[in-house]
Amino acid sequence: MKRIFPGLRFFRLTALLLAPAVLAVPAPAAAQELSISAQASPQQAGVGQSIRLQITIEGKVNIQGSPSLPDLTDFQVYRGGSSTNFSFINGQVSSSLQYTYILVPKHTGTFTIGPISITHGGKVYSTQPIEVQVTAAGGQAQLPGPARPAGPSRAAPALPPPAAPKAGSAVFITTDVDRHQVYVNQPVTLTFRFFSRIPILAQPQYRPPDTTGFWAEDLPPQRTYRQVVGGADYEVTEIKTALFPTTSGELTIGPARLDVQIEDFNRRSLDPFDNSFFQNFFSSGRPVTLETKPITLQVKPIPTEGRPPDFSGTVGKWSLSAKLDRAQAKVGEAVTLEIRIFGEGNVKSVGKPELPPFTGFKVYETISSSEVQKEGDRVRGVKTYRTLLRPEVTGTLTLPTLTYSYFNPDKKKFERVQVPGLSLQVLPGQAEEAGGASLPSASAPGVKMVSRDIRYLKTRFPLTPPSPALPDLFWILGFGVPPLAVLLVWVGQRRRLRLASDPLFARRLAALGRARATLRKAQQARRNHDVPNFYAFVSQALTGYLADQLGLSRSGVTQKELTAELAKRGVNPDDVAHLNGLLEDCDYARFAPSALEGKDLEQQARLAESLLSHLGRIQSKEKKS
Amino acid sequence: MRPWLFFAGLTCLLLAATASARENPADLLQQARAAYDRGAYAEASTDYRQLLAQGLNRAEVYYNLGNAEFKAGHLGRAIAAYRQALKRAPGDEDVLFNLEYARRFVQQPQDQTGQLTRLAGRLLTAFSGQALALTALGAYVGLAVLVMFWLLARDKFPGLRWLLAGISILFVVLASWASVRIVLERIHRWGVVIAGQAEARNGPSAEYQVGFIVPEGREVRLLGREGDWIAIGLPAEGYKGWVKSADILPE
Repeated sequence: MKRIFPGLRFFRLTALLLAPAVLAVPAPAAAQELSISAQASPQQAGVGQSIRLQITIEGKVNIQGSPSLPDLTDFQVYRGGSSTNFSFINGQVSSSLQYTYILVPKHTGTFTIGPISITHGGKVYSTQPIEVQVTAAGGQAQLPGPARPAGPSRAAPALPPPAAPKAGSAVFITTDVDRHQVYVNQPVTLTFRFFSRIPILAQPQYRPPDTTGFWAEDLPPQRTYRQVVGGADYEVTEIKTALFPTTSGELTIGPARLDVQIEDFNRRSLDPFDNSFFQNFFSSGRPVTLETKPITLQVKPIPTEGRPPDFSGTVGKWSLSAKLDRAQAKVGEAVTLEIRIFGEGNVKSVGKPELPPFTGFKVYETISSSEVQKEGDRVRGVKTYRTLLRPEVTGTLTLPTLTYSYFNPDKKKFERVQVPGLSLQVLPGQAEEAGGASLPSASAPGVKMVSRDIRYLKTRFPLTPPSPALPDLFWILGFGVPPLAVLLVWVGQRRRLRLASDPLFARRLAALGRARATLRKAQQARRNHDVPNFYAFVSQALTGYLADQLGLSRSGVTQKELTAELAKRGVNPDDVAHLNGLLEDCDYARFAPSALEGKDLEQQARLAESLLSHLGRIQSKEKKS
Repeated sequence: MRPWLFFAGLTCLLLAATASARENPADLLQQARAAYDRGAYAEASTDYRQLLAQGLNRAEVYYNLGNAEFKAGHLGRAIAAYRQALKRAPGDEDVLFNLEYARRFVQQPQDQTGQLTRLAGRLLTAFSGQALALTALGAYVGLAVLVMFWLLARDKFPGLRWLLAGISILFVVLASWASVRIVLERIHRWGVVIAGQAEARNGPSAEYQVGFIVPEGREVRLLGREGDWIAIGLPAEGYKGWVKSADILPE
């Protein structure tokens, strides 16, 4: 005999029947509570080829226990799985158990399988024996040939994608995706498959791949079917997941892992009389961790070109519906606007529709809910947005057309769905009673408010531009002039008061003016060639000015007194000398005019002017010191 | 007469008539009102904007523009126009009424401010900054005249100093009022959201995540500008974000 896999040992069962015929003989069902049947297929097989043995137990009871198999030492025996169905209808329990075994004959000949029995309620139910013919023609060892799903086992899905060629492996896993280039938020179906053609000792532990960068939605149910890979018949367990990329770029789905416990055939004795045979039979087997390769996806961003302004990032294929929960309402009553966005795609990421302004309504918060359906390996569903509105005016209010934009990745373009405007008949109501929606002013007693609106246009006003903003100069003058005026008034008032209280101050202030007026008279006399009067006016101007400045009597002051007073006050001696010279000339003009012949009167006048200004400055210096 | 010459002349006449109507504010105003009355609010809005462009930026024109925008369903533009009207005519009852009416269609947080704060706010904005400044200037000039009079005749009118103190206090109050109003106007710049739902992002670019969404008509504080993005603030909620400049109508 040729073993299928060198390390594979027989799975020993308590009994197994050999027969080349297919028999399905109901056991004598005591009281019709339970029935057991067995079926072998094919009827004839070569050595090394596989025969599927399927045992079915049915009854209107809750079946406990498992069938006892006969001695099957002439076969290699593999467990092919089992299924259980319970139903509870009108208080009546019915159940059905199905066990599948794969038998690989070791020798040629005719073998009888059975009877196979089960004990229930103290009674034994058995099948009829089944005969199987084994010829030498088999030659090539293989697992049960083309999938022959026996009985009620689940049919293989139509054209499952070919598994990764793992010819020779008793167990292996694969992952694949239905597309490798997608847009952000476009679904990708990730399919995980577990291929097994040997018994698994414990429940395998599935460790899903790392899907960072995706929003994952599982797609139940888990499927089980049989598939031939590389000429070998495998039982395939399939798990599907919908993945929605959340960002663009190159995203990787990590490796999926599966921890399984398989028979460690290397350690098992073939001799059923060996003591270790039974120990191995109950052993927990060898743990194996299977792993798939990572899958890389190219995720394209949603195009920006042609993106509608109200696009909220929703991807898929969607429809829109909207309704108001009533057709008629009173002013102030709450009305619910329900907007449903339904279709195919990531329901949970469906964005809020952009609501246009609802004139005539007070709009309150919007709440949302979503309902996800997973049928036919696709994620579908409905996202519902409910907005509370309160009509504020009477009449027929029509909501604006509601629109919703999304990106259709199959057509690679943005699409827009819309719902025409909904109408609501608003009747006059007790707006005040409604609360919350009360209007700015309550109706006056005896006046019934029917509807409210904005106030009408302004129709009468001057058609001239408003006066422009006042220039900065206005503000500068406005705020600058008053303090200056106050300052001037204050200074003037102070001067006026001093003049009134200080006669010397008044004389000093008036001295220069008087002196200059006298000098002008002198100039007039000069122009008239009246020399005596010229000198008389010059003398009067100088002595009068100095008398006023020094606080002396204008009429009785002498040249000597002036000179002494000026010297005492530290006046420049040169100026004093010039003054004395000029005053002496004035005296000569009075008493000996001939002594002054040849003197330039104009020069004398300039000297007098100069002395006035010099002595004035000296006076100022004296004040400061 | 050649036909093309006739049609050319007719076209010129029509164009001239149209231009004349467009240029005459009275005709334009009449035209806008007629459009408003027959429900052609967009047309009325265009006419009012043309009046504004001609320099007739009066409170009344802004008020009418606000009405046309409100009726056209442009809540944000309506509120912005009413605000402009209120700036020019702070005490106008119609403007206040319509502005408050329009604001009620905007989802706003509950007003948490106390009575006293609201009263202070109303008082502060009851008059324009320029009107307050002019009043303060009047008090200032009056105060200066009174001081001068007091300098000249304080002996004859000893009770004058009480009047002087009173006017001084009045001036200080008015000057402070005007200053606060003007400073607030200049420092706190406001704008109105005119997009249906303006997305406020965490930075001045579409690359940043959306932080919050502001409904149309919401009045927001303008905090700064970076290219095509404007920083806004919602003082009531304490939020700050960046919106596209096209979504906001700044004052």
